[in-house]
Amino acid sequence: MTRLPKLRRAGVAVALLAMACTQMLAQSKTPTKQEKANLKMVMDWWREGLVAAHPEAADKYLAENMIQHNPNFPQGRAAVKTMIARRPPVNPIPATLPPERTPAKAFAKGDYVVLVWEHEANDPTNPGAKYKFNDFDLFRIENGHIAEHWDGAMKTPPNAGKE
Amino acid sequence: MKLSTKLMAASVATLVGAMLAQNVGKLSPQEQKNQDVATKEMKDILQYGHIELAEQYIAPIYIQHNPNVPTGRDGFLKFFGPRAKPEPIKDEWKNKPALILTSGDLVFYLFDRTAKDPADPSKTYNYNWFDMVRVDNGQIQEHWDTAKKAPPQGGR
Repeated sequence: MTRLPKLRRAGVAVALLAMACTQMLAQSKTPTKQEKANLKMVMDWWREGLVAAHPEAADKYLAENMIQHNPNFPQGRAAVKTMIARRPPVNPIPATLPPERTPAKAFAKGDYVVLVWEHEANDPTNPGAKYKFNDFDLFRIENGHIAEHWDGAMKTPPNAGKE
Repeated sequence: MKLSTKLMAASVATLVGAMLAQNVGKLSPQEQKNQDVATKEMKDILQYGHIELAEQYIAPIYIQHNPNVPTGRDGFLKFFGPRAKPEPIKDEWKNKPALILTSGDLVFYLFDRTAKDPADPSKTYNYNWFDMVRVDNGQIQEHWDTAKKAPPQGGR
């Protein structure tokens, strides 16, 4: 091996590192320790509670008097726990979210955590075709628990593509 | 009587306090700039109808994720141009978001909406809508929201 390719490889590595740094600077994302913890907590709730369907995760992560803005759910933790308990739990709980249950964007800011999803559905304007749309879940964290939840759910079928 | 008045005043104060105490985190100077640019689209262009500001604030390669609106600045102008009814721009929103969150290049808006209850058309109920944009170089590069495709005869 000659010196030149080695140098070239080093150059490529430096260029890649510089690109990665520029990307990070461009995003200027500087979450606080608390925001990082809040994001991790919400992702753990999603994985253990909603993906693995473990009802006890509701006790661990949700405030008992959680304010629920989804118009199809009653207020509080109990209703979410009941919904999860209808499904068979997945064991062992997966260590990471499966790709199809991973949000397209996720961030924590202040007391809030935002998850934005990309879903696919049948195109009502073009039979046989699929199209992509987005949905969201928003959480407010208080004292280490999810104290409030919002999403895009409506009472009518137009939003029925929601999981 | 006096006690119940006091209790009521206290609960109103608590409620107002809770609403004011919305902790949306600390914004860096760049995040504040990004949020200001995002608000140009969400408030001045879309709510006050100043479609001419799209030239300045919407990137030519604007990626549109709303499945009912064509992509790009051209698509944005084609869709919203004919609908725009310009009014003098004010500092306050016409339809104020319930929450604005900005993290790095992403700005997220939560809106409260009302719809007719399908189970009882004499009643309404509340639901939520989101918009999110990505801002870079002082222009909006990408947009997401809750919109789904409706059957041809339906609304948005």
